Amino acid sequence: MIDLYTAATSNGLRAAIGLAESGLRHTVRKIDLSKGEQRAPAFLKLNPAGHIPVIVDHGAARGPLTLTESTAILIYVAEKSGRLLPSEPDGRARVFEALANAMTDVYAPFEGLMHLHGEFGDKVPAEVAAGFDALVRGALTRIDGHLAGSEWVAGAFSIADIAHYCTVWRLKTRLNRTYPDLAHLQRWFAAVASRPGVQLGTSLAGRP
Amino acid sequence: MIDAYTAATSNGLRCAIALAESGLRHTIHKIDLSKGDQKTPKFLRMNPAGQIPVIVDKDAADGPLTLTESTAILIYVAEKSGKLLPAGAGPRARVFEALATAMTDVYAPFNALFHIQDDFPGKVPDEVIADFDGRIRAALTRLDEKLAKSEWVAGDFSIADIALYCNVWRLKTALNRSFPDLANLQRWFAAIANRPGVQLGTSLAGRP
Ligand SMILES: N[C@@H](CCC(=O)N[C@@H](CS)C(=O)NCC(=O)O)C(=O)O
Ligand SMILES: N[C@@H](CCC(=O)N[C@@H](CS)C(=O)NCC(=O)O)C(=O)O
Repeated sequence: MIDLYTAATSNGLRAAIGLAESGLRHTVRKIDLSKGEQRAPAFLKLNPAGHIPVIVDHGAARGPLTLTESTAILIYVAEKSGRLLPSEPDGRARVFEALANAMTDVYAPFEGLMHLHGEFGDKVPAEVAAGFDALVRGALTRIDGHLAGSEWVAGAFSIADIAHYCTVWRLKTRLNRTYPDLAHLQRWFAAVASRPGVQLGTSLAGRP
Repeated sequence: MIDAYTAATSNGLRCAIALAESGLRHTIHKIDLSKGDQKTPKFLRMNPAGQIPVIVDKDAADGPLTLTESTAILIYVAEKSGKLLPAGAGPRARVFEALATAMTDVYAPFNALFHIQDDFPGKVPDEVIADFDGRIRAALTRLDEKLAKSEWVAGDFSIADIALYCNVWRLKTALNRSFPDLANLQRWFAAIANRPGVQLGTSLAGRP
């Protein structure tokens, strides 16, 4: 049994959907970030950084394993369940390539934008936020080009689709950035959103 | 034989050091970013995004494999060589956790500062810059605490050390950020810089 402590943010949703899609038995415990539940002593024992998501795998081989970092949780549940990540080297490399692309080329400028626009919007010139918007759009446009010729971002549905989906979802729900002109990205987004595992993970993580 | 196309940036160095540390046979081809070598038709055929690093593994399982994304290259090289990434689920999860910290919690704010310095000098208020600096420092301080009790960031020397090292190196060489008060981090940084594989990779990638 795996316990997940999470919330409805891009990082939190990544872990919730990863677990739901893996088929591994788990429970989801919602952490209310606005109430500071991530700073409670019991939570800080799980993750001294005071960040969600965190999992505790009570069925790990060498006794309970506490793990942070949404990307690491995705890889862990994929390797444990044998799903969402191929075992042969080429297919694996493609999934890790798309996963890395999600977390560095899309997530990094998205996070920059969250701070520059979301947090300090009135203090930062519009052209700076526009520069970060362009970085996000550049990366998403390349993914759109790839999705023109394939159903998912790297072979079969994988942790790379989950990683990307949660960032695109957060761009929309938090920053109101949608990319209606990227038609293949839209088709892919709708296909991911309609998966039962994704809907389950999203509903358990709660409202943003 | 693996061909690596790279340069002396954080992403480029990650790839060069990992190959050197893995012991896999490889050749480094320096790409001069200032001359636009990454936008030549030949290079764009390997990576349409026009970015280093890229590797081409001529001996991959299913024929030549072209792979981008420094983080994915780290994982590929580790899995192919059987070095730098443990096989047991628990220790492996720790490496992926530290790798994810390096590539999100440290890399995202570092990347934001890098763009602000290069693309928008003088346009972002100090208070906003300080916020990004604070995020980097918070993540590095947590790593410093971890390094007070262990030699490397996750078990034995691994791809997580390489990933983080290249960020800390680039924070110093490109952004003039060093963290002299984080003594354990300094000790760890010097130990990595001393490794023959790291010195080889760094010298092959060229001057920043
Ligand atoms: N790199 C980490 C980031 C985790 C993170 O930043 N979590 C945020 C929410 S998305 C958090 O818990 N913030 C609460 C706080 O800092 O108080 C991951 O991918 O899991
Ligand atoms: N997420 C990618 C980023 C690669 C990247 O941004 N490469 C930069 C240098 S660090 C580049 O080649 N820039 C040249 C350009 O965009 O023209 C990775 O980790 O490999």
